[in-house]
Amino acid sequence: MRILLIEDDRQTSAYVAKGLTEDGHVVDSLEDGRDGLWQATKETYDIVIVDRMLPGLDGLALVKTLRGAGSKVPILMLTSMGGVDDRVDGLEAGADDYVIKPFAFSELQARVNALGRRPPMRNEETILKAGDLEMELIGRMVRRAGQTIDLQPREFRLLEVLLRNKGRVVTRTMLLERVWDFHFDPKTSVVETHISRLRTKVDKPFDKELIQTVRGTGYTINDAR
Amino acid sequence: MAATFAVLFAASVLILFTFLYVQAGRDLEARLGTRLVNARAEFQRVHQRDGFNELAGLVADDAAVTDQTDAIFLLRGVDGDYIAGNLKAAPPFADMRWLDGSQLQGAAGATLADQRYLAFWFPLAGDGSLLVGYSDREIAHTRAVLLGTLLWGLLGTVLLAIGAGVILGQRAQRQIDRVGRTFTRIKRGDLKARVPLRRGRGDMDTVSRQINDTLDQLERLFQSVNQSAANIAHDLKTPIGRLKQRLETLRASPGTMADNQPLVDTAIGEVDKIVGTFEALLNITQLEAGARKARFTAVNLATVVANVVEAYDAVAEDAGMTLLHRAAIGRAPLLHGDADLLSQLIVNLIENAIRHCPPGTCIAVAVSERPAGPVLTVSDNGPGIPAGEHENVFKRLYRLEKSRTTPGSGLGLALVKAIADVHEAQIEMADNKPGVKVEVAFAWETAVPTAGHSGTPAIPIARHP
Repeated sequence: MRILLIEDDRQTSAYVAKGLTEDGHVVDSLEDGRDGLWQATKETYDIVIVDRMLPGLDGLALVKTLRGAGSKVPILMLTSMGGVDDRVDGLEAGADDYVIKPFAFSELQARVNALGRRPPMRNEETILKAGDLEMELIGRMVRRAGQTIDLQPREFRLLEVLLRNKGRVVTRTMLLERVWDFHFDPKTSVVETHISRLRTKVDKPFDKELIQTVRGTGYTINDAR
Repeated sequence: MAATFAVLFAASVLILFTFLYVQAGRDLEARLGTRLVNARAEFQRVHQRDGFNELAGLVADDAAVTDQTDAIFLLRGVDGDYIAGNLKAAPPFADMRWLDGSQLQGAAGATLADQRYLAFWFPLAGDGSLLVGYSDREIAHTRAVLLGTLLWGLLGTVLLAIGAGVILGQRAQRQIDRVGRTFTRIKRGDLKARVPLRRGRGDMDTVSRQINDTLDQLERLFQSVNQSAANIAHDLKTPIGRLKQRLETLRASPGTMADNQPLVDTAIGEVDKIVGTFEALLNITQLEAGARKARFTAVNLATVVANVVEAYDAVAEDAGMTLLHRAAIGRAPLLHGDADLLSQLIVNLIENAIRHCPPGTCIAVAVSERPAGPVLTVSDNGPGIPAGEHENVFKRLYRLEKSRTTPGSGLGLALVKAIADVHEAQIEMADNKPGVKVEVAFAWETAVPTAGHSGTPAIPIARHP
């Protein structure tokens, strides 16, 4: 993917650019908000990563202007301001996701991949599959190897998020946000507990393990190999 | 300051007295004028009625009995020659005017240098002219007396003013000095310094008392901040210390990166915990400052509770405990707030119970209602906390003695309190006999619902599953 990174902290910028480049993306880095806005309108990118505090043009204003100009490019905001209002400010301005510094690169990576997935038409699919696991979104039914699996609503949603991101890593934080709408970090292992329950129903009775733990990062579901 | 008062006093007295002096003088002179006019009228009448000779006789008589320092007369004939009077010569003029005595020549030939006269020189229809004048001796005397009185009075007033000013000024100055000294001591670090009070009721005394009250509050705040800072420093030094140890072990470790992965993971975990503590502190501070309130909407407490309970059911089970949910009956528990903050509050209370209670404990989350608004209750039948600590646990970084060694930053309940406060709810922890019961009492949502009631934020958030 072509990624535009607008970040004035050199160390963070280098760190992020290096990681994303190693993943196979093409990264353009800029340090000034005005330059960034200009670049974002001039060229086409798959994702724009913007820091909240920038010289030249504040990150929030940049996002608002970009959206105001009609751009629909996915935007991810970075910030060290973890304040209660800041996330909402960023999302209201038009950003699609928000990562708080200090972040683990894997968190950023997972969200970049989730944002930039192609094609967007996947939203209209009604059946999600992984290996011999099938999820019917309309009937809300889950089957594996022909057998119906009975899932609680949250377990269903959890599996759905994993399936929609098949082959990609979904972090704990992303799951907390998308399955439970928790925008904070609980001390106890809510996600682990539910993943464990899900595995008991979806993986244990069958021969291949579809749900995998990615150490230190999150979970992923793959077609069995 | 005394000098200023004295000067002001003296100046105002001086102005007043000058005014009096001038007015008195003018008044006396005016009266003299009136007397003179009347005298002229009298002489003219005599002349018209009784003739020139009669008049001459009258003038001579008057001149004989009157001291020339009091009054002057000069009757001249048609040729300008002296007929009668106590003046020999006078400068010509018409009507009434003030004359200086040195212009006049008395009967003895000498001038009347020390006086001033108000004189009238008027013609006598064809028979000559008459000069009548009254001296200002009385007026001058009165003026002198007045001046003397005024000057003495002025002196007395000035002395009085200086005296009073000095006394009052000194008293005020002393009080100001006391306040000044108190503040100097405080600046130097002695927070216990207070302004010494007298038993007075004056302005300075009131101000001194107010200053002392403010200093009391300052001292309390300072101690509270100090205590917090000490707690924070202590509670963060432990994970930071552990982190350092792990990194040092890592540095000394001979293995490859793969071998050391677990150590690195643990080290990163410690960093995350430290960051978490700072963020929690930041959140609490921001909430205390009222952040987020502008974004409050109508929230259904029951929906929020259901969501959290659903998430923690399994977690409690894994810890060997039971999580019960008692739903509300009756009116929908709507309040004005933020669903995410409320979720955090409930999560923190449940996690607190899970952390501090042994397996087998039962945790109950209930939504009920009171006349004032919806009430959230989280209770357990675990070991409970000592009776005196029910209020202390909400303080930041407060850990009960027995919990000092268990993991946790001590901020969980402080955040709960901050969230309750920003929702203007009353929070109370009590003995559940056995166990702990936490009650959070909210107020009903009164505003017009915006996007309808929801347990989730009304703000549209782009979600990419």
